[in-house]
Formats: sequence, structure tokens, C-alpha cells
Amino acid sequence: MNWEETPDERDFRHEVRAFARERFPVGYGPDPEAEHSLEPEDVWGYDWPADRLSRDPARRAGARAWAAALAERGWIAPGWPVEYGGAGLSAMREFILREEMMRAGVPTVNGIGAMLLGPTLLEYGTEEQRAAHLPGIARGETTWAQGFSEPGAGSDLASLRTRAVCAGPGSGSYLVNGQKVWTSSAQYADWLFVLVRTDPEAPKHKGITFLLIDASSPGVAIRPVQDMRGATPFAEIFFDDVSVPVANRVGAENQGWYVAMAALGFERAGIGATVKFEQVLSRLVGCLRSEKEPGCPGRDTAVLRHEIAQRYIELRTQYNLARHTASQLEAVGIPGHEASVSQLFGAELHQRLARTGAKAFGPYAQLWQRDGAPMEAAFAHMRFDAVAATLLGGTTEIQRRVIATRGLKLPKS
Amino acid sequence: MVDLTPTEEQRHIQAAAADLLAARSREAGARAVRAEPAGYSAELWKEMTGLGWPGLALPEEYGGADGGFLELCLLFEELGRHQVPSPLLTTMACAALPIARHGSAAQRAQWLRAVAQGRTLSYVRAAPRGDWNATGSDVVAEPAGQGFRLHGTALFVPYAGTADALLVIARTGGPEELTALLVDNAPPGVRCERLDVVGNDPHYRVDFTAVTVPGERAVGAVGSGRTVAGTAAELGAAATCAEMAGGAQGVLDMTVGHARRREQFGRPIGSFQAVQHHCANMAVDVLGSRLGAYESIWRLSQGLPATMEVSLAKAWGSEAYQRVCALGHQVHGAIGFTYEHDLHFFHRHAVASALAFGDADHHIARVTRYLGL
Ligand SMILES: Cc1cc2nc3c(=O)[nH]c(=O)nc-3n(C[C@H](O)[C@H](O)[C@H](O)COP(=O)(O)OP(=O)(O)OC[C@H]3O[C@@H](n4cnc5c(N)ncnc54)[C@H](O)[C@@H]3O)c2cc1C
Repeated sequence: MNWEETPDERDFRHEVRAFARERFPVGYGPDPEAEHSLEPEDVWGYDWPADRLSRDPARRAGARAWAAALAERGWIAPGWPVEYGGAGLSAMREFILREEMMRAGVPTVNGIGAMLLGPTLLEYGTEEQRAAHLPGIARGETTWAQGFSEPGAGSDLASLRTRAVCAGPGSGSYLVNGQKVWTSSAQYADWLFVLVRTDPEAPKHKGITFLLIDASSPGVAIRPVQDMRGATPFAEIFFDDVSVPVANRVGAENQGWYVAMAALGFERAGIGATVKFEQVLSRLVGCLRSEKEPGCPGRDTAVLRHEIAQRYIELRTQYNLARHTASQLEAVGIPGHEASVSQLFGAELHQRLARTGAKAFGPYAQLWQRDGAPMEAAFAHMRFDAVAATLLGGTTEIQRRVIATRGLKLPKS
Repeated sequence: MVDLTPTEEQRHIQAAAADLLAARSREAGARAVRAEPAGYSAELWKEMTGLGWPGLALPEEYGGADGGFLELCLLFEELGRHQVPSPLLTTMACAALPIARHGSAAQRAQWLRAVAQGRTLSYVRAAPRGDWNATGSDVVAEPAGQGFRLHGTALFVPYAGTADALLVIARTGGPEELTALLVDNAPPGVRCERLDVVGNDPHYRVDFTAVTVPGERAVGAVGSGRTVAGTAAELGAAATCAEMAGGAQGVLDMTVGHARRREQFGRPIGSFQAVQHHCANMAVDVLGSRLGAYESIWRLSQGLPATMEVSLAKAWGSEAYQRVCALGHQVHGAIGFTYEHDLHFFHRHAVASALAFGDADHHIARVTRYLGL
């Protein structure tokens, strides 16, 4: 056991820090109104997939310049092999990279494409698919969205109904019809990776296929869905006779479930969330200590101090869980059920932290406006952001089931 | 490299300890030694001494193996996992290692060698009203000739009945001046009376009546007792965190085993989702407390400041272990409420170890101070 970084790892940390300081574009500021991003790695106010298409030219240019700067080093997809535009970093270095980017307050780029699709194609894709799609992701030129969930298929993902049929004997394409929902950032995506049913007769896990679909294909309609905060972090997607080349199938026909499970297994280390929580908690402490700060009427009670300390303890526990996942990935190659432990704990901590923080401001905790609110209403917003934490990426009930059955080997129901 | 997995050597220590304790827990575990006057198996202690356990973290020159505190704590984790009561933690973390750090060359030569050979020590911190924050002591050492004369009473002294000597934090001078003294645990003047407590480790009330202590028995300078007490409490708390993590793991293993075997409604109860969720919650607590414990222990073993990490680990671990026990009972149903079932030994241990070296509230308060709140 060793909690200490090697000089190499420390140097790398400083390198990332210096890089963010020197290369983060000046014109790329956070959008004060932004509520879009629910990616734990992203920093408040930044939403890179949206920013790169922003109507504001400064934001758009900034987002693109930032992607280009990261791409130079392969840091958009840090863990991928260099030949596809990655940096071939170890799990621990990737962890340090994300941590330092968070600390520097700069957004990550291309989350879903880099973290979910990339590893999936590296494992199951053809050489043509890798060559066609990976470099674009690694350069920050194409973004992807994950179309798994449907109105009738959430936790029970395998019950999905969007169907694909071969357009005709000998035809080189599928015809896709159906609907997806809750697809994060789909309205900004160039490409979608989706699960479709190709054999309605087969047992439900055995008739599913994994397809890559160009979002601009005729017959694809993407409609943003508004969430409880008034933001539109996700969208619904309708497929109406969409033609998809067979060459865009990942893995064999009807084997898509297994490909998808691998994709879901490429867990995030959960580091982003930890740093974000730590930063907001230390701002809260600062705010409570400087009673004189205008607009910050913190209620510094013994009970609250106790609760804040408890959250701090949990945060450090979460940091250990996240580092442990990275360390296991590095040592063993695959995260065990401990990765689910980390994700589950982090999601629930998010909600506890939001409640603790809001408490500190008494009646001011209801201010949704950022202007003139204590800590720019960070905790009021966090309370609502956190509602999704225990749902997205699989609900906490499902995570617990994974821990129990795969981790602790309890019998399946 | 940051690597939170055990090294080859650490895995080896862990596995060897687990093998021995699993094999001996029937005759040396908490249930078996409950009626023993010493509160632990003297036979197993001899065996452990033969294997070099007390010497594991002591320097070679005193007959030790020159291992670290981290390696020693792997033993505490296994003792907790198998609920085998033993004076090892009290002897090592609260007395021998503080002597190694603060004692004179002569004291180290005498006492560390004795410990490596199987002598046991205990640690007496008699704080007014049992307050973990207290600055004073209920034991007073008056100057007498070249040394001291000791008076006073201490409660909750683990393994005092059989310890060869006691490291006593006593008041010398004003109400806040403390000095650490090594006191022979032998009459006249020292009386140990066993208390009836919840936990599995025997605890004693120790009365000192005009006990003569030579001046060279002061560990560290006269008046520096707070520093020695700080070391004992910090190492003791961290070691207890390892023991609690092991205990919590033991409860999880036992509970998962039960959930796989026990059938209701024609299927194993472990296939019911409510039961699975209880077990998953336990797994979260177990992993969280183990990593916290070892982070603080690793820091201590590297000589890095660890006050905050120890408090984090103790605050978290104390509560987590009790939650794990509560869920363990829930999943076991009535069988876990019986005397016959071993689960309650873990529960007893959880309650007692949560109170050792400060409960969660005590350590949370330290964290608030650290945060500057
Ligand atoms: C912000 C956000 C972003 C998202 N982004 C994406 C995305 O990019 N791509 C994508 O494909 N999906 C995405 N999702 C969808 C997400 O994966 C689903 O919401 C989630 O899997 C739950 O499905 P559901 O909403 O249909 O709820 P349901 O499955 O209907 O669940 C409702 C409740 O029932 C419980 N439940 C269901 N089945 C069981 C069971 N077997 N045992 C115990 N409890 C059960 C659930 O835990 C939950 O509490 C996103 C969701 C959110 C909120």
C-alpha cells in the first residue's frame, strides 16, 4: 500500500497544472446561465459539447481552441493508444489529469465519446471503425451520445423496442425505427451509438444489436427535453426509417447486449465529482468564517459545523474510493465491484452535501437567482442537480444489485 | 506509484495471520475466552510471540523484525476479523511504540526486548470524568525522594489484570502538567479489578495507593506526558480503525454467507432485493472504513502528520462498523439475536471500539477545528 505519488507522478501533476494555466483560452468563460452539464467531471458553468456550437462566437472559439490544445497532447482521450490520438496514459495518470483539470476549473472535452465509445471500439470495433471514428473524437471534432434508454426501457434496458431490419436481401444497410429518450447531449452530437432490436423472437438479451448512427441521417429527429431546473441536458430521439450501413454495426448481429455491457463497464473513476464537492465545501467554510461578506448570511451553528465536518469526512472517503478504483484498474486491469461502490457512494454524497450546504443559508437557500444570492446560489442549484445523481448511469438500486450479485456473489432473484 | 492494493509481503502477512486465527478462533476466540481470567488465550499468545508478532514492528536490535506500523496493523485487522481478543494492540500501539519513540535508550533496551519476548504492557490514561478531551489526569504523581509516589484511580484499562507493566499518564505539578511513567504492575499499591463491560477485551479499574515509582521510570521528560499520551492515542486510534475494518469485514462475510444459505419463500433470502441492498450498503461501509484506516496508518508509518486522517478514519469507521452490525443483525433475523450465534461478539466489539480513543462525535469535533470552523 502506498498513498504517495512518485516524483514522476508529481511532475505529471505539475505539468497538467501548468498546461491548464498556460493553454486555457482566455475568451472561454463559463456561461453564468448554464445548467446543462450533469457530467461529474465538468465544472460549473461549462458545458463543452454545447459551448462548441454556441451562438456566442467567443465561447465557440474558446471551446474549440481548448479542445485543440488538449488534443495536441492526446489528453481528450488520455487512456487510448497514441495511434488513435490518445496519450496511452496509465489509469493513475488519467486520474491525476482529470483531478488537476477539475482543480484548475477547466472543462473536460468529449466525455461520452472518449470514455464510453472509445474503449468499446478498441475492444469490439473493426479496424475500419476505429480508424473512422476514434481520431475525430480525440481531436474534439466529433461528439457522441449514448442512445440506450427508451420510454419503456430504463433499468430493464434489455426490454428495448427500437428495431432494425435488414433493408432487403443482400442490402448493405439496416432500417431503424423507434424512439430513444434521456440521451445526454444528443442535440449537440454528431454521432449516436444505440442499441436496437434485431431479433424480436429471441430471448430479450439475445436479439439486440449495437449500431453507430450518423445524427444527420435522414429520418433522425432529435428533440431536447427540459428538466426540472429548466435546462435541457438530454433529448429524445426518433428514428423513422433511418438507413444505417451494416458496416456501422459493432460486434455481431444480436450480440449487442454484450458489447453494451462492456461499454457500461468502462466506469468513470468518479474523481471529478470529488474535487467539485471539495471545492464547494471549502467555499462554504470560507463563507461561514467571513460573516462580514455581504450577501452571505451564513448560519454558523454547532449542529451545522458538525454536519459540515461529517460531509468532509465522507468526501475524503469518496476520494479514497475513487483512487482505489484507479489503483485497481492499474494493478489488475479491470475495476471490481468497488467501482460501483465508489459511484453509489458518490451519488448519495452529492445529495447529502447539497442539503448540508443549503442549510447554512436559512431562508436565502431558496434563492434560485445567482445574483445577490449567497455563494451564487450554488447549493440551491446543487440540490436539484443532485436529484439526477442517483438515477443517471443506472439507478442506485441497480448499483446495489450489481454490488450484491456480482461483487458479493449473492444469488440473482 | 500511488497503489492502494497490498504489496506481496503485506498479502503474505495478512494470509498467514488469517490462517492462524481462523484455525485458532474456536479455542481462542471471543466466545472461548469469555470465562478465562486473563480474557485471552495465553497459549495463542505464546504462539503469536513465537511467530514474532509482538516484535513485528520493533527494531532488530531489540529482537524485533524491523517491520512497520502498517504491517503490524494488518495483524489487528485479522484479529478483528476473527474476533480473537489479545493484548497485542494495547501492548504495541499504546505502550511499546510510544516507548520506542519517547523513551530513553535504557528504557528501549529493557522494555522493547521484553515485549518482543512476549511481555505485555497496558496504557493508563485516567482523564477526569472520562472526557476524551481532558487535559489533566485522575492519577497524581507526587515527588518522593528521587522519584514519585502515585495515587488515584483509572477506569477502562484494557488487559491491565495480566499486563507486566503499565504506562501511566499522571499529573505532576499543576492540574495540567502530565508525565508518563512506566509502573510495575505488581503489588503493593497497585490493584486491578475487572469491570463488567460490553466489549470482548477485558477492562479493569486500576487503583494506585502510594505506589513508589523511581525517577528513571519517566518516559520522556517530566512534564512531557501530553506528548506521550498523544502518540499512544494516535497510534491506538489508528490501530483500532484497522481492527474495526477487520471486524466489519467479518460481519459482512458472515452475513453474505447466511444470505446465501438461508431459504424463505422457496429461495435464498440473498436473492431478495431488499436483502441485497442491505449487503451492498455494508460493502460500501466496509471498503470505506478500510481505505480510511489504511490511509491514516500509512501516513503514520511514513512519519507524516496524520492527526486529521486518524480523526477522519476513527469518526467514519466507528459509525460504519456499527451500521454494518445493525444490518448484519437485520439480515440474520432472530438467529443473530441468540447468544449461540457469533454475531453479537462483533456487535460488542463495535460498541466498545467505537468508544476507544474517542467516539465519532469527538473526532468530528476535531475535524471542525481542522477545517477552521
Ligand atoms: C440526467 C440524466 C441523463 C441520462 N443520460 C442518459 C444517456 O445519455 N443515455 C441513456 O441511454 N440513458 C440516459 N439516462 C437514463 C438513465 O440511464 C435511466 O433514467 C435509468 O437507467 C433509470 O431508468 P428509468 O428512468 O426508466 O427508471 P425506471 O427503470 O422506471 O426506474 C424507476 C424506479 O424503479 C426502480 N427499479 C426499476 N427496476 C428495478 C429493479 N429490478 N429492482 C429495484 N428497483 C428497480 C429504479 O431503481 C427507480 O427507482 C439519463 C438519465 C438522467 C436522469
